[in-house]
Parts: sequence; C-alpha cells; structure tokens
Amino acid sequence: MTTYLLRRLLFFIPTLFLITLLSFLISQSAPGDPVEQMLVGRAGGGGEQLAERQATMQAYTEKRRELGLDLPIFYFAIVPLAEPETLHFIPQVPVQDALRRLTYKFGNWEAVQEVYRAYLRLDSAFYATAQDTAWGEKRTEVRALLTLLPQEKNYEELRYRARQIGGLLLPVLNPYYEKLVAAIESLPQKAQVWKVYVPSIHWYGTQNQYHRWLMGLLRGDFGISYQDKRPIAQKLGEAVRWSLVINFISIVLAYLIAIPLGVTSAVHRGSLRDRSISLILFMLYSLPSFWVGTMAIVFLCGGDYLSLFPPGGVQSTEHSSDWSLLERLIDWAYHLILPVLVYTYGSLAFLSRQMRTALLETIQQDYVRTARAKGLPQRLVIWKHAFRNSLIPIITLFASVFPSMISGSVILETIFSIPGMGFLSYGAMVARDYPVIIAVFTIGAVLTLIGILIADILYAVVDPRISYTKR
Amino acid sequence: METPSVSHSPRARAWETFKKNKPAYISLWIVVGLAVIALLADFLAYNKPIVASYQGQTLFPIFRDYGERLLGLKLWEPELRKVDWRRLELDWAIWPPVRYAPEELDLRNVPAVSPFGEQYISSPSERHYLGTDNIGRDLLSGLIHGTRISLTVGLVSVGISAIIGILLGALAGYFGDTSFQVSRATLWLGLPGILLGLYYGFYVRRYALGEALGEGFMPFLGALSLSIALAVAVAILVWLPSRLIKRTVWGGYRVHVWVDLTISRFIEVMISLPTTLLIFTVAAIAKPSLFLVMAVIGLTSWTGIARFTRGEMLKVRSLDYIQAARALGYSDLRIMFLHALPNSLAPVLVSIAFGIASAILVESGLSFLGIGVPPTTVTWGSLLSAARSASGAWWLAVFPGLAIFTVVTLFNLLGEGIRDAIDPRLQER
Repeated sequence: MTTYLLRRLLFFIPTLFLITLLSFLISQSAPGDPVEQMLVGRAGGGGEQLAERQATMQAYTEKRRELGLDLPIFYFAIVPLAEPETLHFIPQVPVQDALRRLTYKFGNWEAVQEVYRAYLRLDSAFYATAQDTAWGEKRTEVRALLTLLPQEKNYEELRYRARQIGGLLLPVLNPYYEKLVAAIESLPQKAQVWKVYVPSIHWYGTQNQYHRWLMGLLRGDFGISYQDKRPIAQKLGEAVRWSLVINFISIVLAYLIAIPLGVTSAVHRGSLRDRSISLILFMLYSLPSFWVGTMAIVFLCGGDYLSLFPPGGVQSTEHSSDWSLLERLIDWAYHLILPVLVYTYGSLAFLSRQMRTALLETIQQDYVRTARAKGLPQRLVIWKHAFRNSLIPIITLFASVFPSMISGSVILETIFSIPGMGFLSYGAMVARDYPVIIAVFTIGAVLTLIGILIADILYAVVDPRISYTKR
Repeated sequence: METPSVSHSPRARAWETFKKNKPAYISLWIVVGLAVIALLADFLAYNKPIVASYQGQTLFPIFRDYGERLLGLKLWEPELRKVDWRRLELDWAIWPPVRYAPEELDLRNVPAVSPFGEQYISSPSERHYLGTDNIGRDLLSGLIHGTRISLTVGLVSVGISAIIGILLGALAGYFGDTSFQVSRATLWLGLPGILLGLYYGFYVRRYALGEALGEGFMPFLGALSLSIALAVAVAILVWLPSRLIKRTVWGGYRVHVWVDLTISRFIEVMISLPTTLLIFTVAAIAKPSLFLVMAVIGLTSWTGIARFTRGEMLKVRSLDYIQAARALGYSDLRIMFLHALPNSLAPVLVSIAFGIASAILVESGLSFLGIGVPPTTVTWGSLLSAARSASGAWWLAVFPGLAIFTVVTLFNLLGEGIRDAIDPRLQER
C-alpha cells in the first residue's frame, strides 16, 4: 500500500506543476496591461506636458519592475533567431506584441528597433512642443494617433497610421517624422525572413515571471485583485470556507441518501420500487442544476410567488456575532437548505445509480452465491458479503463528484448569491479581474487534485488487493 | 429454445435490442425531429415572410437574406432593407409560424410579457406565443433558434473530442507498450522531426493562426491546414536521412516505443484537471466566441472516449482475424484503421451520446452566466438567465430550462439505450 500511495504522490507533483503551468499560460493570454490596471485612478492618463508625461512613464516603469513584468516569462525560451532576448524590457504589452509581430514578419529586429526608436524620438519631440501654439484640435488628434501607432500589429496599418499623422504635424517635427517614415518604409527591403525560421534558445535562469509567480503561490500570494486592490489570498480565504462547507455537507448528504437508495434498488431489481426509483434518479440526473436553482429562486424565494426561503445569501442582514450559537446555526441553515438541496441532488442521482450497478455486479459473484447456498439470511448476505465489496467503486467516485461540485459552484453560488469561491470567480469574470479568475482556477485545480488523492488513499484503504496490482 | 431470427450480425442484433428499448428509440426520433427544427429554424421563426407578394412582385425574403448573409450578395433594394415586413402592405404572404427573429427587440412588449397576458400586438398572428424576455425578445423564436446552437455545440465539440479520443485511444490500445517497434534511426530523427514540425507549423505561425481564429471558422480552417502541412513537411524532411542511417548497425537496432504508457499518463493528467472550471476560465479570458467554446469543450473532454477506445482495442487486437490480417502482411495502420477500429467503435457511441449531453449542459451553463458566448447570440442558457432579471416571469424560468432538460435527457436516454444494446452481459440477463 505504501508503494502505491508513494506512486500516487509522485504522480501528484508533476500534475500540480502542469496545472500551475497551465494557469500561468492562461493568465499570460489575458488581454490588457496589468500595470495600467493597477495604475487606474492615479496619474490622469498620459498628461499633456513633457514633464507630466515623463512622470507617468516613470510611475509605469516602476510599477512594472515592482510586479516583475520586465522579466522574461519562463526559465528559457525557444524562439526564432530574429526575436531578440531583450524584448521583455519594452514597456506596454501591446507595443511589445506589435513589435514581436513585426519582427516575425520581417525577421530583422534591428530594423524594427530602428522604427521603434524613431517613434520614441518623434514622441518626445511632440511632447516637448509648447501646448499653446495655434495647433489646437490637431494636437489632440496627433496625440491619440501617436499612442495607437506603436500598437499597430499589421504592417500595412502601421504605414497607414504613420501617413495619417504626417498631414497634421508642425514643421518642427517634420525631420523626426521623416526618419520614422523612412524606417517604416525600409522594413521590407531590410527583411531577413530566414531568421524567422532558425530556432534559438535563450536561457534566463530563475529570474523570470513564472518562477516569481510560482514562488508567490507557494507562499500563498496570489497577487492583487484589480477590482478593490486587495490581496487575492485574503479575498479567497474568506470565500473558500463557504464553498468547502457547502460542498462537504452536500457530499456527505449525497452519500448518506444514495447508498441505501442504491441498495434498495438493486436488492429489489425489476420490482416497481426499483423501476420508480430508477426513473426518478434518471430524471434528477438529467436536470440541469442551474435550471432547478433558477426555478427555486423564482418560485420559492420571495418574488411574485411563494416566499418560503430567503432570496439568496448565507445569512440574514441582521445576523451578528452577538447571537447565540443556536440562533446563528438556525439562520445559516435556513439560508443554506435550498442551495444544499440543489447541490446534492445531481451527485445523489449519479451515486445511487452507480451504487445500484455495483451491488448488482457483486450479487452475481460466486462468493455471494456461496453465502446464499450456506443458507445465510438475505439480510446478512447483502449487508455483510455483497455490500461491503460493492462500496469500493462508490468510494472512488469521490474523485469525480468532488471536482464537479467545485466547478458547479461557479453557477450555483451565483444563483444563490453565496459568497464562496464560485461567486467570487463570477464577479471577477464580469469585471474582467483576471488575477482573481486565475487564482480561483489554480485553487480549484489543486482542490481537485487533493480530492483525487483522497479517493486514491480511500481506495487503497478499503481494497486490500490494491497493494498487489502491478505498475 | 431461441426463436430463429433473421439477422445474426452483432450490429443487426444490437439494432434490434435498441429498437426494443422504447425510451431510447423514441429519443432517437425526437432528436432527429430537433435536428430538423434546427435546420429549418429560419422557416419556423423569422421576421420576414417565406414567400410574399409586394406591389405585384413575388419575393422570397428569407432566401434573399440567405443570399446576403451566406454569399455576401447585395440583393435588397435600399427601401426594403430596413423595413419591418409585418407593417408592409403585402398582397399575400406565407409567414413562418412565429413572426419574430430571435435577436429582434419588440420594444412594445417590454419588459417580459406573459404568454397568457395582454400583449401589445397589431394582429393575433403576431402574438408572442411563449411571451417575451426582459428586453422584448420573442421567447419561442429564441428557443427554436437556440436548438440550432445547442445541437451545433453538442455535435462539433463532441466531434473534436471523438477525433482526438479515438485516435489516441486506438494508438494506445493497438500498439500497447511492446508492439510499436521502430529502428533507432527513425526514433532519433523522427521525434525531433515532429517537434521541429510543431515548432514551425504552430509556434512560429501562432500569430497567423490567432488572427485567423478571430476571423472565423473557414479562415481558421485554412490557416490550420497550412500549419499542419508545414509541420508534416518539416517532420518528413528531418526524418528522411534515417532511411540511410537505418542501414548502419547502430541505426538499424529496433527499439520499443511506449505508446500506451505515454498516452495513458497523458489521459491521467487530463482527468485530474477540473475540466469545467478550465472551460469557464478560458471562456472568461478569451474573446467571446461560440467556436472557441466548442473547441475548448472538445479539447478537454476526450478522455472518456480515449479510454473506451483503448480498452476495446486491447480486446480486439488479440482476436484471430487481426492475426490473420497481420499474416497477410497488411501494414499496422491499415489493420488498425480498417480492421480493428470499426469493431471497437460501438462503446464509443455511448460516450458520444453522453458527451453531447454534457457539452450542451456546459454551453448552456456558460451562456447562463453570460461568459464565452457573444452577448447578442440568443441561446437557451441566455434566455434562462433572463429569468433572474425579470421578476415574476415564470415563462422565462420554465421554458428554456425545459428545453435544456429535454435535450440532455434525450441524449442520456440514447446513451443508455446504446449501452444496453451493445453490452452482451446485459443481453444475457
């Protein structure tokens, strides 16, 4: 058994690693610039004057360094020879992305860099011009165009954008502008496309974003929420309690009801009782929980029909810690009874159907027939001989019931406004608060893995044969 | 004594058993009916007539819209383009039974009028038979067109997972850990070849692929085929020299490739991922797109199919007729795909039926939350979620949910029926 568990644990670690890699990969593809998100509300968006602008850029760069976003992404990178090792130093993710795309198109980083430098010179020259010239509206327009220019991903659009700026500029800026246009126009001539197709490896060591993120994760640091700038770990800590409590109650309840139901069904196979139980369970199994939840909210919780239950939440508004424990428990129970029922019935149906099948299979085994032949009473045969052996597959089903509950809580907690992980995640999805979404996924995945591990351990405990299985 | 039956092939016998299973058999026909509704959705619910005579002209407005939408033609005269056909003075017209398009907002019936209540309509034929939602969209029209989306999501995502699952499962089951032998030269050049092919086909071209995915399904298919062609070409190019190296003693040594071990571990890792949560996360972060939702569901839910195919292949490969095929000198690929696979597919059908049910469930869950699916797309899930914002609108809570429940039940019943039909153990009972 020890070797079996050890093997499962050994499998646990690479899978965990893979999950963190996957979460990180998804978080990398989240749109938008995290630094800008963090700076929202500070420094009024760009600024008109050179000094102001420089201050904003300064703050941006500092925040970027603080978050470690100027670091390379992973321990190493296999990239085309054309892609420089230093691209991650360039601030602003969209600009980085646009420059990378241009490099992939023309294969000549020096030439692309030339364009970028010419742009930077034009940009600072533009902000150095006094604001009070007769330039007026055009100035605002140029400013907008100058912000968009370096984010242009398509070469033709970049040329178009540059030409748009051309007609609007002051004569002072013309030399800078011409250099920029020359750099852009010369890109196709300077193209070294072969460089795109020669791979090269960059080695960065532990100074990279993934390593930082992973180390933070191990310390319990999930970053900062965009919405309220609070540490995500703190937000999650409060939320995860509710999710775990509800899931735990539901799973226990599901097992407690499912097992006797499945046994009755199997023992009286083919009878009216079996057939009606099977039919009801089948219907429950196909009932989408979010439909049942919505119906419950619409028809049973206030609104225009019955108001038997509170319309969501986990406690009433006047709930306070001054109440006696019993009062508080009753209040919680009153709020949670409906969500728990909705949580439970799906896995209940699934579990009882599996229980029925498992018991039917064990009843056909020779040793059960032997027990019957010995003249043991039916009760003893079922509960002592067949039942215990049919439990094994049911216990391992914990591994598939638990993850589905964790995922299901996103929808159900939203319907019932339970301040758990799923509700938090839904709020983050609506508000595009990516760090929170990623954190919930990572924790959900780790919880799933732990659930599978627990199922494995239980399996090893209840089934003595497991130690002899090979591999 | 057994009664003599006409057909003896296992397939025919399974079909006979399936037909005797009334719930499953009826489900099959209802699913066919739903597919017809999905195909003909525009002729059942639309805001233009099928045929109409307007100012002496006979017009086929729905077909014209098809021409504009599908072929990119400019068919409508400017004065008819934006017109409300229900208000036109038509000589005569054949209308779809429901005279509303699914996304259309009927601003006179806002918010959420009841199917039995008073509705602000000009004629009885313009009634909202199942009421409207909180922003005035016709519920029945939405349900009819939602059938199309639900079935498409079910079929496409399960199609994707079936291709991946069957391929990987068949490879793992057929070859196991010992049957796939290659020369060292092939292994040492082929593996880097495949990696390099993937690098050129997919990594270097990732921007092109990403852009194509944003443009739509057909451009993506084109870009994907180009990537695959490039990857295969590079892999073959790298592998070619191995034909020569094979003749040396070192290169000619044959080694086992652990096909089964590798694929089984991969499946185990996939199973430990919280798939639904992963789908939610990806859908929340990426740009809303129905195709993306289908792709993500397909890419994460193939493990069941792969395990079934593998198990079945393990049984089939030791059968005599496979040995016979080997003895005839057929290639492994030919035996696998033409001889072994067709006989291993029956259990996969069960997985496919259940897979469609769960894909539809996941998609309606996503659109219920309003993530992953574009906000303008009317789906069963999005209609159901309207019940949360329109208080007291029981029809919004009941009908869309009933539609989801029905389809899910149908596919579950189908799955059970197929399982009972092909499981010989159950036949003996």
